[in-house]
Formats: sequence, C-alpha cells, structure tokens
Amino acid sequence: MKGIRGISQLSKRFYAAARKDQSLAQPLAGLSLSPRVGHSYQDVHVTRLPSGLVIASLENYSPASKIGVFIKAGCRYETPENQGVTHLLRLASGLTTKGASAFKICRGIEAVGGSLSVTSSRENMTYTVNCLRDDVDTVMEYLINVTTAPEFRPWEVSDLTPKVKVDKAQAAQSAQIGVVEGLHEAAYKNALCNSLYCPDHMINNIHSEHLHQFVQNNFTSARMALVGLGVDHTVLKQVGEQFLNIRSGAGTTGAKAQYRGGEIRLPSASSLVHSAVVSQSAAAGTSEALAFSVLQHLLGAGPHIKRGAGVASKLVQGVSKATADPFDVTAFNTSYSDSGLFGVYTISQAAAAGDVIKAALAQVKAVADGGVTAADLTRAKAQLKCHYLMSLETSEGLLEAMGSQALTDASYQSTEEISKKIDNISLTDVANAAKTFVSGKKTMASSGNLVKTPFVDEI
Amino acid sequence: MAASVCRVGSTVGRALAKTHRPILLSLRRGQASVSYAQSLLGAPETRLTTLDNGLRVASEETGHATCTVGLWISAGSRYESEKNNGAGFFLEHMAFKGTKKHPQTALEQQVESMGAHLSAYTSREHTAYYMKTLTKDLPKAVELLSEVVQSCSLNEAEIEQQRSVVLRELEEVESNLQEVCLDLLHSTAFQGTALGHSVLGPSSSARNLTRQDLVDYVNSHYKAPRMVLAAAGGVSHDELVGLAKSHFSGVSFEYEGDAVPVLSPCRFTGSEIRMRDDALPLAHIAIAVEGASAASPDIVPLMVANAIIGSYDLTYGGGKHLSSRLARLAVEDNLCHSFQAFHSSYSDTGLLGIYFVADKNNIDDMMHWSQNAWMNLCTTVTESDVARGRNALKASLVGQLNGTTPICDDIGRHILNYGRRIPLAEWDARIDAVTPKMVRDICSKYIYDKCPAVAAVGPVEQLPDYNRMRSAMYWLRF
Repeated sequence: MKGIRGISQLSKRFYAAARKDQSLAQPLAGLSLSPRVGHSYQDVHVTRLPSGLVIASLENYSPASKIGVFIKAGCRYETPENQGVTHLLRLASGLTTKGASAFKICRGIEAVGGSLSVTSSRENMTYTVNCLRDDVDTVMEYLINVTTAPEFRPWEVSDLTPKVKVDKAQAAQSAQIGVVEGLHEAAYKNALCNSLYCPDHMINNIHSEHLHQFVQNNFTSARMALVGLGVDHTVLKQVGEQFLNIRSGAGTTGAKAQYRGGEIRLPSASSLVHSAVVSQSAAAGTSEALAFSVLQHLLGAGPHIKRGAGVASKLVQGVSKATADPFDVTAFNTSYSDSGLFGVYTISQAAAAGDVIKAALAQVKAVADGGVTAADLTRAKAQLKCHYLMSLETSEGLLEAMGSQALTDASYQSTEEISKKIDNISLTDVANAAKTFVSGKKTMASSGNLVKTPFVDEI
Repeated sequence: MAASVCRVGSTVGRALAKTHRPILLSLRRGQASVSYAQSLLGAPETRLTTLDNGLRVASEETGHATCTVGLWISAGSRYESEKNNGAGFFLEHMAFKGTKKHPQTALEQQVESMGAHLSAYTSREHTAYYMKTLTKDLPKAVELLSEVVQSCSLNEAEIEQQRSVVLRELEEVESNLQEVCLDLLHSTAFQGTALGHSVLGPSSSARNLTRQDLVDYVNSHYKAPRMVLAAAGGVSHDELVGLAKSHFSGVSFEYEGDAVPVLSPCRFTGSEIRMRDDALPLAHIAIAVEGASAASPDIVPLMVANAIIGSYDLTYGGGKHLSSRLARLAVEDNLCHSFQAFHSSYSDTGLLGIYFVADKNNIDDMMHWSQNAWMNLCTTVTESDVARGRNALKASLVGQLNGTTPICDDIGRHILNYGRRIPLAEWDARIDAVTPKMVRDICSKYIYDKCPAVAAVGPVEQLPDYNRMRSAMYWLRF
C-alpha cells in the first residue's frame, strides 16, 4: 500500500540524512592530518649473534609489521624414516605449545587481526606473523612459542592426517605441481628429490616423536634467521638473544645433493600435456646462476602483456612455428644451495607435444650456438632487474629476500649491488649457460595424455 | 640432551605464560619506536591535480625503484545496453593489438625491452589500463598508455581473430563456478537493469559486435572528466602532471549531440536463480541483500560486520578454535568447503552477502547457519566481536596495499568513487567509531526482514524453498 511504503521510505531517508555529512566523498570532520611529517628512509640492518642466529630488519614505517623466522629445515633435510615430516610441520603451527594452548594461539592472533602462517620450500621453512604495528609483542610471543617450544601432543598431531590428505588432493589437481615434484624426484638421488608433500606410504606413519626429533635436529640457532619489517632492530636482537637460543649448534648437516638425471611420466586423461626438460645448472649465489637467470629471461620467462603474442620470447616464437594449436612455453630455472635445475617447461595439446618440446629445445640450442644479439641481452637484463625489483615491492617478497639472504650469508645485498652483478653478465656467459644445458644429462617429467610425448632419450 | 632442552623450553614457556603483559614490552621501554598512530599520520600523501579538460592526475610517492602507472576510467558493463553488452570486454581484447603509431609487434617490443608489464581489466563500473615498470621509464609508459587509450587501431582482421578468442574465454569461464555463481547473483538481484549484465557479455556479442560498435563505445565513454591517470611508486607528481598535460590534453570532454550518458538507477529485486546440475561435485551458493553504495558512510560498519563473519576454507589452521562462529561450525560439522562474507558496492547500490561452497547434503544446514550469523549481527553482536572485526578490517586494509600495483589501483578507484583518495588514517578513525550498537542498527537496516537475492549452481536440490529463506531473515521477537 502506498501509505506504508511511504513511511518506510521516510525512515530510510531520515536515517540517511542524519549521516549524509559523513559520506565517504567528504573528508571526515574533526580529523586533522596535516602537517605530514615524512619519515626518513632506513637501510636493512643485519646482525649475527654469537649463537649463529642472524637478525635482519628494515624499518619501513608501515602501519603493519611482519616478522618471520627462517629456518634451514626444508624437505631436503628429511630422511627415509621421517619423509613427509615437513608437510606435517607446515600444518602443525597452530598446535599447543608450552607457553600457549592451540586455543590461545588462534584466538589471541585473531583478536588483534593478525595472522600466522607457515611456508616451506626444499631448503627452508618460514614461520611468518603479520599484525598491526602496536601488537607486535602479542604475536611475537606466539611466534616464539611455535618455533621453540612446540608440544606436538599425539592426539593433536593425528588430527592433522585429514588435512594432509586435503593438501595432497588439492595438489593433485594442479598438473604443474605434479610435474615439478616429479622432476625433482627424477633428477636427484637424495635430499632435493624429497617431495614437499608427504608421500602416500608415510601419511599414517609420521607421529609426534618424528616431529620432535626433526625440530631438535634442525631448528637450531645457527640455522635460523629472525627477520622483521616495520620493527626495531634492537627489539629483534633482544628477542633473538633471549628467546631463540633454545637449541644451539649447527644441527645435523644435510647431505650434498647428487644429480642423476632421469625420467618420470605421469599419464592422465588430460588433453593438455605438461612437460619439463631440464639439466643441472648452478648453485644459488654464484655468477653462473645469475647467467642462467639472464638466460631464462632471454628465452622467455612468462607473459609481460595481457593476451600478448610473446614477440620477445624466443621460446614462444620458436614453438609457434611448430604448432598452430594453443600452447605455452617458458624457461624453467631454480637454484638451491648446492645445485640447480635449468630447462624448458611446455604446455601443449597432446598430439603436438613432441613437436613443441623439440622446437623449444632447438631454441636453447640456437642460443648455445651464438644466436643472441646484444639487444636481446640488454632486454633480458632489463627484465631480470625489473623482475627482482618488483618482487621487493610486496612485504612477502621483501621478507623472503631478506630471510633467504640472511640464512645463506648473513648479509643483505642492496639492489644496486645486484643490478651491477646483472650488468656484468656477458654474451659468452649466457652462451656458456646454454651450452651447459645442451650438453648436460637431461631430466624429464611429463603429465597428461602422453601418447605422442617423446621419451628423454628421443629428444 | 633432549630432556634438558625440553626443560629449558618449558621454563621459557612458563615464563611467557605467567606474565600478564607480554614480556617483550619491557624490552621496548625507552626505545624510540614509531607507533601505529604515528605511522598512519606519516604515510605518504596522495596528490591530486585536475587538468583543464577535467582529467584527474593522482599519485603517491612510496620511494620504490619501480612504479605502476595507469588510466582508470568510469566505464564498464553498467554503461552498456542490451545491444552492446560485452563491448568493453571485447575492447580490452583489442587494446594491446596495436595503435596508430605502434603496430602490435612494435608495441610489445617496446614494453618488453623496458622489462615492463602491461595489463588491463574491465569490471561493471570501472575499466583500467596500467603498466608496471621502473620509475625511470615513467615517461615512456605514459606515452604508450596514452596511445593505447586514445588511438587504438581496432584493426578489422584482428577483430575477426579475437572473436574466437572471446568465445573460448567465455567457454573457459563456465568452468569457474565461483564466477558463474556471482554473475548469476548479479543477474537476478539487478534483473532488468544494467547491473544485471555480465562483464563478458553474451556469446552473440562476441559474434556480432562490429568495429563501429567499439568505436562508438570509446567515443561515448572515454571522456576526460571520467578518467584518472594514477601512479604509485617512486614517481614525482609534478613530472606525472607534465606528462599528462603533454599526452592527455587532447582527450575530449564533450559528448556528441550533447548527449551526456546518465546512469539509470539499478533497482534490487529479491529473487532467486537456481542452475541445478547434479553432475557437479559441489554446490556454489550466494545469498545477498541490497548493500550500501560506494560513498555511503554505512560501508564501514558493514565491512566490520563482514569481518566478524569472516571467511574460511579447508586450508585454514585453527580448526575448532576459530573465532568466527560460522567458521567453527564449518569445521566441527563439516558444513562447507569454504565461505566468505562479501560486500560489492557500486555508485548507488551494492550487494552484501555470503558465498559458500558446500557438499550437496550440507546446503540446508549451511544456509541456516549463514542466516543465523546475519541475525546474530542484527541482534546480539558483542563488544569483543566488534573489537576483533575492527582489528581484522584495519589489518586487511593495510595488508591489501601491498606493492605499487594495489596502491595504484586503490588510488584510481578511490578518485572515481569518492573524488579523493581516502587516507588510511581516515579509514582508521571511521573504523574506531564503529560500536556494537552501530553494527546492530546498520545490519538491521540492510539485512533484517529484507528480501534476499539467491543464486545457486550445482547439485542444489537441498537448497530450501525461497519462502523459507525469506522467513529466516527475521526472528519472531515480541
């Protein structure tokens, strides 16, 4: 009825009128924001404590703080008896510790709008907390509890088994994860062949004792770095000296990774074939590794323009002559503390897989034979520098860069130093890197409908 | 050895547990440290200049060696009619396929040699073209962007080729059930109005749009007062204004025939749409009420309310200890695989809702508890909930501004929505002003006893009848 509708409209209009002056299009009354005093630019501070713990921090005056504990405890340090333990550790960050119950950790962090997360790679495990600047004390307490005094109560650990299965099910939906894990399994005899995910046969066989033992052996001061963004260096140092000295020493030394070169084929019903062909490259931090990074961008490391034709990517241009069907190809490059892998990663229709892979490899061979111009090299270096600088824009990228550098050599290289090193890479360095790939023993991993996909000895 | 280590660990643990305030506070006394409030006040300011033709230039200097610069335009599927729905999306396909000065290959070579990234997106009310690059390459980036927007060549042969690409993308998006569900939600909630259109447009558009349609679209909507040149990174505002003046002064501010397009209001209709397909493994369901417009002050309490409900998916730790009651129930009773509370706001309306993905046998329970969470907000939300919601919202607002591209996007959208960039300090003040009573009143205003719009995709047999969902939007209280 018209009358009743009029009344409800009236009340809405009245309510709206009372708050109209607070519309977001008008600055909030009573809030004075001037004058803006800019903060001075700060450098990254790095200190190494006598116990071996490395502290790194940057005061960036952001309203949010981010603190990470980086530990050399990736899946490469797993043994056959505890394979899969790092997967469970990733899921176990919310479990009861000696200083705080699981309930307290979860509620305490949520109450301040913070977060606690764990990521792990083959080399490192990283525990990260985020919070607003004033709440650093609260979340730091939980971070220290989780990394130094976990209890791993057996019933809480066994509750994690369904989560392990969920993780594996989600990973199984990604062909890329399957290929990369398979690639490492086929490429190495030990250490780096361990998967990030718990193997099927170990799912019910990782217990509380395994987690305790892995933490005792690997979470030691000499293998840890405490890194912070938006925190005082002196505060972090005090935290490191007082609370992160629980386990001293270097822990168990990891085995040196032995490359063997092999093949793994993962047939599936998918009409898209994902395939990676690599050979051993160089350890991280060496100038050869930098040459491989430049080579990666030279060949093509991913799209730069949305829906672009990839005109600057040698791989894309080479493969587009071999097939008219949709495809994708990039250079694959990863390096670890004592080894690395470099090659090509292709995604193609099942029938064209062989042609695509061979065309991609031919492009790398062309670089090895000297088919690179100075302009190509300049462009590749520009792309590598941009890629690195853009990764430092985000807090995650910056923390990761500071943390991994702190762990490997207890220092932080400025972007200028890194730019200079990139500039010093010459055409011969890049050609040599390509030659290393062409002549090296190959490892191959493929997934999809593999009827037309060649074997590693056929490419 | 192990035993002594454990004992040491437990001493530390007990020490930490006993102190009322965290022990670290005593470490900081006497240290000069920047507090949260100080960091907000010291945040870099966004400077805004308007050119003579109405084009706005806004930038924030963050001190990075890289920057993002782009054009944000008030154009999108809301400005399209039934006949040309999908023109904006098709135009995005054509945007980087060549300009009058740079054919496609030359354009790509320029971008790649700078090591830059060039991208674009189209949404219902905004279109953006932006580039990520080194700060020293800002002039070249602005020049290329100005060409892309003002003199895109719209080659006929390329248009024909892109038709099949658009059709393939339409096919691909059908398998992204979250997109499908939320698109259906818009099409039913705003049925018969421009906001009901999908951004991608129907497949008939992909087949039938002509070059003239695209040219008309650009001529009617790419006007200077509706455009913002935004940048974030190590950029100098004065340099940016100079570049804007030299490249964008020619953008027109007059419409042909003086026909200024006026946005017609988009009415909200409480309704539902079900796309039942028992072959799909999971059901994707969204329920929403009409929300607040972008510039409405009610946005802040509504965002706090959404932060109280929060979100959840199977990868979350915390389990049954999670603070949000809906998340706790999702874990304990296996109610759903994931859910999120959302608020999409447009210039004069919005959608406030909950989206969840559930197994076909838990839909009824999940819907019941989602609506229960809403009723909770309207009636009994407590101070501790609101405190947690405020903190979570502040943290997410700061956390979203992570890198030059999100900051640049924030600047562009704020200028288009509010005519100014809202600084974090102001968001903080507005959030602090939210009280439990305010949350209860404002949620009641938008949620209580209102007709919802519901969209459901997948094995949705168990979804309750609309009348039952409508009845769950209020409690019998006397």
